[in-house]
Amino acid sequence: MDKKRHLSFGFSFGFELIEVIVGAAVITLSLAAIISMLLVTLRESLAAPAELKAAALAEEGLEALRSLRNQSFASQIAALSVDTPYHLSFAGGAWQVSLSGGYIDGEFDRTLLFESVYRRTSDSDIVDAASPDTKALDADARKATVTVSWWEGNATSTVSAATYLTNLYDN
Amino acid sequence: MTIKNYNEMRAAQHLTGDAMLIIDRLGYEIRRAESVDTGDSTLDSSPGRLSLVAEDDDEETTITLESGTVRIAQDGVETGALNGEHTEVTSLVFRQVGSGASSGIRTEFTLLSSDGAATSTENFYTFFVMREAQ
Repeated sequence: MDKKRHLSFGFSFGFELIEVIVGAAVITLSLAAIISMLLVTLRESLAAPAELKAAALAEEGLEALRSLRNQSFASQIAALSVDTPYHLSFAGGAWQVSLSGGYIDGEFDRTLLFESVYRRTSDSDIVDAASPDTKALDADARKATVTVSWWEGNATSTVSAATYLTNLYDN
Repeated sequence: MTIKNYNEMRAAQHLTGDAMLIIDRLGYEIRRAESVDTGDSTLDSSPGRLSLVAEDDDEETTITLESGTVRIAQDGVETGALNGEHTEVTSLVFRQVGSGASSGIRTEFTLLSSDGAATSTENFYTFFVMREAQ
């Protein structure tokens, strides 16, 4: 009788120990996952203002190019070299595109890249420069990509926006 | 994660949300404008004031900075604020750029957000072409 009670006690004690170990492991893993998620949320939230500022700078760059395009496609857009990185700055009340430029607020670097636009001969759709289709260069269009980069934590972050600029006003 | 971290996160969230709203609304109003009423605007200095005239109905939209809040009014009737109670616009400058079809408005503003003891501040820059300008 005593032996049976002892065995029963031993079995019961061992089962509870396993439950405690498994339970503790589940709680530990859950807490680790929750803390990890909170840290990611915190990091993303703290980085969001800089990301929004970069996105606004990229969009501002595209809009500035539209303004320059409206002024004169020939002199402000087509005259710039393709596949060459430029900088866009606002100085003296006007937009200026140049080969070199400083950081915006000492932190954000904004560059422009123009690419040639090719159109498929059969339907005038824009195709990649490497497309095997029969195509022709569209001298009245450029693809413009604005890239904003900044240092965040221990890495460089970038935001890009692109558009096609056409010779809308035939100027 | 501490209370301080939580406050910093909330301050950053307020800043991002209000900055996005201000940028979006500026884009909407400037893009649909035909011209700037320069006589009723304060350009190139803070606190700036921008009065835009829309082509379709000659409606005049005015954007001002009053006590840290960006306010918008249409034909003299205020329609609301663009930033909430947790943020303060400490500087707002409007600049007219270009002429004719290339004319647009560059806006520079500084937004300060606070939550508890945590604060977050950032400068924002936007430019929009007035699509109806000739």
